Amino acid sequence: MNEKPPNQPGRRHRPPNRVPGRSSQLRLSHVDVPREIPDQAAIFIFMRKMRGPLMAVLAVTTLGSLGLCLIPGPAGAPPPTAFQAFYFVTFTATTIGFGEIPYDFSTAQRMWVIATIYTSVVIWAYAISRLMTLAQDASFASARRAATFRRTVRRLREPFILVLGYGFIGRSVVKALDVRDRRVVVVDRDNAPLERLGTDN
Amino acid sequence: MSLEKVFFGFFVLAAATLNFGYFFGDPSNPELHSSIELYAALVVNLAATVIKLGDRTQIGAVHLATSLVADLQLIAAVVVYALSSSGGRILSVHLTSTIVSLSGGALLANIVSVVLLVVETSTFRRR
Repeated sequence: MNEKPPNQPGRRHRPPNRVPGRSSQLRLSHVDVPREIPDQAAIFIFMRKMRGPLMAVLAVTTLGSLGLCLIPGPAGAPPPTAFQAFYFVTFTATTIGFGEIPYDFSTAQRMWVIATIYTSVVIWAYAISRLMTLAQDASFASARRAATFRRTVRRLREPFILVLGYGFIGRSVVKALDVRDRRVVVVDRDNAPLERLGTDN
Repeated sequence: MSLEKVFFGFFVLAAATLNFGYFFGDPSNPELHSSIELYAALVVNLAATVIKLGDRTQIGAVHLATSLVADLQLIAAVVVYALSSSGGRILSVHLTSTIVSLSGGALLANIVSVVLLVVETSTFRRR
């Protein structure tokens, strides 16, 4: 079920519509050849695993704002409005810290803010680290690349020439086609020759 | 019975009921629409959206879509409210009815969500 596909990178290379006289530019993007059955499960697993962190962020933001909306300011000033409270919690939780808005807080408000900071900053850090970990997950990355590849292929509206192998001959063929402004897709079994595609000109 | 199902049903229903609570009443009278309820409806709707993430089934996709629609409408309502009530201004009739009708649109999406939940539950078979 979870076997890794054989490493068969394909490389798409399309010369942009060029104005004559400009130097040629090779555009490069990495894709794995998609498997027979598209596997999008990884994307759903990603969303599913982000539910916890997102819910925690939502809860801490809501509770922090709610508390600020209830605690009166110094000398009986009215508590901040919901929007002001949300604004304050947002820049505090993400450690941006613009200061005490809309006025200098009372001691009671500051106590609540301390509690909010200790919880919300930790929860934000947890959510971001979780996001990074999941985004770097190998199966998620390969599912994302496959989806991008499928989308790009579906959008292709002009004919292209498929060049198999980017060795000595492949390179000269691609170069010759590129000079003639033809769209070229290069496929090679090995990744190393394809790495040169980006630097060849 | 699973705890996940309880949470799911709770958030979907609470999103719809809070939304209805805000929407109910003369749309031109700001006295009849509590802003706290609007904020609560938005937060619970966002929670319902998060809880719906990652379901691959067809019905799960429609659930998520209805929630996203409701979120967008409620966010629009809250933005209009926050902009027009800043500095302690009193809401005009036009702005009040704009906010209430935006929440009414979200209510429609939430009703679809509840209908989906009921349909899903009634077709559920123990295996």
